[in-house]
Amino acid sequence: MLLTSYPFLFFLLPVTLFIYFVFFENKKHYKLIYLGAISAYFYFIDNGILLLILIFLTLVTKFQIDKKFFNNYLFVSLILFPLIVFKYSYTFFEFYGLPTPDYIENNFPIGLSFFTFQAIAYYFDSNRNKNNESSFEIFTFLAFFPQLLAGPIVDINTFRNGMGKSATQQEIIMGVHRISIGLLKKFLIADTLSEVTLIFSNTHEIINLSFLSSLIIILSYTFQIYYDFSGYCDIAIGLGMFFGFKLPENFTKPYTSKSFKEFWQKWHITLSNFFKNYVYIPLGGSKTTTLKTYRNLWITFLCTALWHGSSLPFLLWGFLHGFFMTIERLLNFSKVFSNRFITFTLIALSWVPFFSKDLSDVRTIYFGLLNFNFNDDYLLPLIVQNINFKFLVVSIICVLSLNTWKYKFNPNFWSSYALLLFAIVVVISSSVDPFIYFKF
Amino acid sequence: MTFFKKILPAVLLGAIFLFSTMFSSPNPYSINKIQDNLGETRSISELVFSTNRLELKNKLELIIYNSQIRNFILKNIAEFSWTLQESSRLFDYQFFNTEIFYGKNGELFPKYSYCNNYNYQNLILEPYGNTEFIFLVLPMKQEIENSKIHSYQKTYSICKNSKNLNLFISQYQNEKVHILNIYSLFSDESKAYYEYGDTHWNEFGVKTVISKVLEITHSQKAISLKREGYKKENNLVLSRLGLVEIETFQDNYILEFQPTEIKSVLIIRDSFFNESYVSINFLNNFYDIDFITWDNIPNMEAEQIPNFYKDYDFVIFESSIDSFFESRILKFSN
Repeated sequence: MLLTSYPFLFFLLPVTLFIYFVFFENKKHYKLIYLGAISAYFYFIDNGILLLILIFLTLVTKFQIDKKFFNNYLFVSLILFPLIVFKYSYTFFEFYGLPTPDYIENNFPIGLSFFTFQAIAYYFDSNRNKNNESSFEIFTFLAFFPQLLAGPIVDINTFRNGMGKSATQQEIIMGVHRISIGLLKKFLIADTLSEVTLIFSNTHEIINLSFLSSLIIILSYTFQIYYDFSGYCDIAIGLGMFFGFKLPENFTKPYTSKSFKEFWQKWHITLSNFFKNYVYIPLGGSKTTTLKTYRNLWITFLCTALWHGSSLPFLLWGFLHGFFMTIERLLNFSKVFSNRFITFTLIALSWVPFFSKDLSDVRTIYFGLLNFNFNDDYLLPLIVQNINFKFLVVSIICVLSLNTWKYKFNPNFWSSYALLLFAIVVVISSSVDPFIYFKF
Repeated sequence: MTFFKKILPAVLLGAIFLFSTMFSSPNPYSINKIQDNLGETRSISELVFSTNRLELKNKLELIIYNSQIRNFILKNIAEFSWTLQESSRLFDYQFFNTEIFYGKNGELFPKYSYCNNYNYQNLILEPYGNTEFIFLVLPMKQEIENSKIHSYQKTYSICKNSKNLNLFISQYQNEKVHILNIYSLFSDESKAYYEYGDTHWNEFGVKTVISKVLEITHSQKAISLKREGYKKENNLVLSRLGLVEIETFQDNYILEFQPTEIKSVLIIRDSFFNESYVSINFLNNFYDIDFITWDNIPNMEAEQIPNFYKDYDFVIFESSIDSFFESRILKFSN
């Protein structure tokens, strides 16, 4: 169930919170059972029988921990098996000219990549041995509903700490604040920008774009994906606070980065850390020969691209990031030519393959940036008619979010609840678009 | 008190559901979500424990969609944004509806869903027997009343549909196929052809077009219009999609023409021939009319199609220009 859907926000969440605070808040054992059951139900409502995949991952992980039956490669392959079937098998079928089975084509277990990676990270986490989790604990850890669908990827220590404590009143206030911010990021900003980006993605056979359309589409998507995904993470972190969990931050102003290296330290942090810890470092990281360091870097970005999808545009996106990181290292870019504007521009341009349907769309947008003849641009009227006061306000917020001011606002009871009421008004007056990152 | 402050988020969010269940709106705003009723009549408490997950989600969603709370919030947002619209003429302040936008003085305009160059060839547009075809392909309001759009949108927010129409006319107009160029009929920029809070034509627009149709159907040279009094504008779209009720008036016109015979006409209609804009009583003065909507045109083999209209003197195809070139024109494809 989407964290922003009406059934979740106004039915499942309040009921869950109410029962939790009244009956289970201070009883660790019952809290575990309750959160496990609620998370399973949460996943079941959208995914039905595919809940079995979560159970499969839990049982395989527990079995491996207890029996050490498989070697590490085999275990990882087994864990990755559902992901490969549901996310990548169509490439195999296409390659051999076979039809993709209907069940695989029509069903995708939402958040599969996230909880698969969380299971792998859990198994290899050195902290795991400090406590031997039961199967149900592992299931609850993997299925914890606030972060189940799109992360952040959580380590076992975070889960253990959260299970052992209940939220303070200040944490509840902070949780309300984070959820409200997340809802506003999603409904007010990301969804307003999506009115423009959807024009591009819903149009088939785009022949000609002009500079203006290309620019507006690229900038809109650049901010949309940030506010969409970070909004989801804010909601997940806020929900975690209600239950005593301190989920890790996934974004720390990534668009203010002065280099690609810094960007990847601030963007989707838990996934970046996963690839750093389980791909880049095991390959030797940067503590090896120069040539091998570059090899490791490219393999890591290939994995990151493949994680998002095996289509050519995603691979191009990974290639661009790998390429810019390589240039940075080669020229010591971050010291010689450190510049936020250039980094932001290149990052924005690199999103083009990420949101394009195919390479022809990528080419159309890039060439559009060089086309100043607006007459044959048939997307331009559709875009311009969507530029209204709300879009302008959202654009100003986006530009202002590129600041590097350092201030910290401490929400109090009144500010948090005022923000929540405002968020509810915005949510109720909107229709719900799914989060971009659910498909991964 | 601490406990209450902890459960407050649950109470606040839950209250919305509770009130929505208790107070549903008799006329909920823009329900475009159709409940897939699978024969499920169980209550929410039963559905929560059932395996019918989709039905549960639909039901919960519809309760909020149908609630008075939601309608109340939307109504207030609409009123607030309309206040901005009236006091400041700088922007379009439409907040929640993505199908419409507002002009400089709050005039309502429809958004395009597609915009493209069309060049359909090999259409079958040859009326059978004595029947003649008349095409009324209505321009979008912004294409005619361009001066009412905000200046920042004026240059780049208009699709070049007139090009499509000109091409269509040059390819298919003949003595039995009449294609009215409404762009040239509605070319006087000092006049309004569409209602203020609506995407459809106003009284002057209706009478201008009908006079031209009468000239074709009744072989007249020039039928003039006479202004006579005022009438209220419908502003139906503003009320339905913008949730703003306003009262505006327009000049009333009468046609200076008395028919000597009643022609039989089949109108394949879009929304411009809705009763609110063109009354059947008025049309009955000139025509013996049957209506059919575009969706209801039966699928037939090419040779059977004449049976469908052969008893009429004229068939009028009425459509907004975007829908016409996007899909409806394909009804005439081979």
